Amino acid sequence: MQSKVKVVSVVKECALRHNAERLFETIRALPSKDVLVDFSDVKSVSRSFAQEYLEQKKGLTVTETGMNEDVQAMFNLVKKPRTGERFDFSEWKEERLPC
Amino acid sequence: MLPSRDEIVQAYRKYCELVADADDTIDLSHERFFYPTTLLPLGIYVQRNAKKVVKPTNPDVSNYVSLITGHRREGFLYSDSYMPIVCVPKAPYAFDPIFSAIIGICDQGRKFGGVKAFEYYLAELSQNIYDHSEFQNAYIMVQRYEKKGFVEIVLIDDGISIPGSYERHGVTAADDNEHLKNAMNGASTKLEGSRGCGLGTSIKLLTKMDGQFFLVSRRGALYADAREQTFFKLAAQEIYNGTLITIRVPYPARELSNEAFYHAIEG
Repeated sequence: MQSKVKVVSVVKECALRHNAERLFETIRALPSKDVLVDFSDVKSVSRSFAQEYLEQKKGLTVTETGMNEDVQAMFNLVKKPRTGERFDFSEWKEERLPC
Repeated sequence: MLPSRDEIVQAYRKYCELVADADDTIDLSHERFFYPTTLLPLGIYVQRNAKKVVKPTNPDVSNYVSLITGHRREGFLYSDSYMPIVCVPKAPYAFDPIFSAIIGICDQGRKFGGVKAFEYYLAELSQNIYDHSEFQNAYIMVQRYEKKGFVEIVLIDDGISIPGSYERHGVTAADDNEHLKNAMNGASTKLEGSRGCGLGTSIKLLTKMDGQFFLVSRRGALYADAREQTFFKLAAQEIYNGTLITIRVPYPARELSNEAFYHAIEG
């Protein structure tokens, strides 16, 4: 039987990484190994939270529901291989701290 | 229109000069104004070195100095709709209500580049303090200068610094600015491949918002806005043992489109 966890009932903020760890402490304590995580009422998650969530999720049977567009977009972003432009430092100046 | 790059740099230089001139006592009696970029490292210096302070005669400025040089209290040291100084708690769990409160005081970031952008750079740069710095003291301060048309946000810690964090993980570099380049391009000191994007993506985001970003970490230092990017070679008296980040964004800052936001933070 599937268990259900509502994110906002476990953590108030999804800004820092440790909140994903806390969420999964709750998930791992559930009797069922099949867990539905409900993101409804979560307005946004940080990149760090999303990264840690996906790291913690590895090897577990966890599915998500109720994600709004912003939450979904952040998860999609961190799942992707890095595609952003690297900084090109050739145009950067180097100088002493101005007086 | 934001002030020039050199105004931020001068605010940091003012801290360096006050410290360089200090013996047992730091005389601030004639100081009439501090940007957070001066005030916060000064407060940490006073706490670390048990210096006496002659406070400014201006009561408002004196009050700020008292808050930052006094006994360490986690949570809000002072807050109203204009200026929160936050003493960052060592336990990340204790940071949650503080993060919520900063967001709330700043009107959900609506005039700080939009809710998503504000939460993004505040969360990522705060996360870096917890992930890498091993701090004893860390502060966040948000100061609005409505007449000047900008907000200054400073995050500071007295930890091992970005170069020090890389060295602790066995990464060597020619100098501290090379370590900063690694950090900006997402070379994580952690094992996971997807981590380490916070600094670089925050800089990209802020410059896209027409903001300014200034960072000093040990002997490494940089400045970036949309038009100008500089690494600084610091003299011995300009080193900061920890990490100082100053962000200036126009106030009110225009909200980025979703497309621009996600493009900036692609990592």
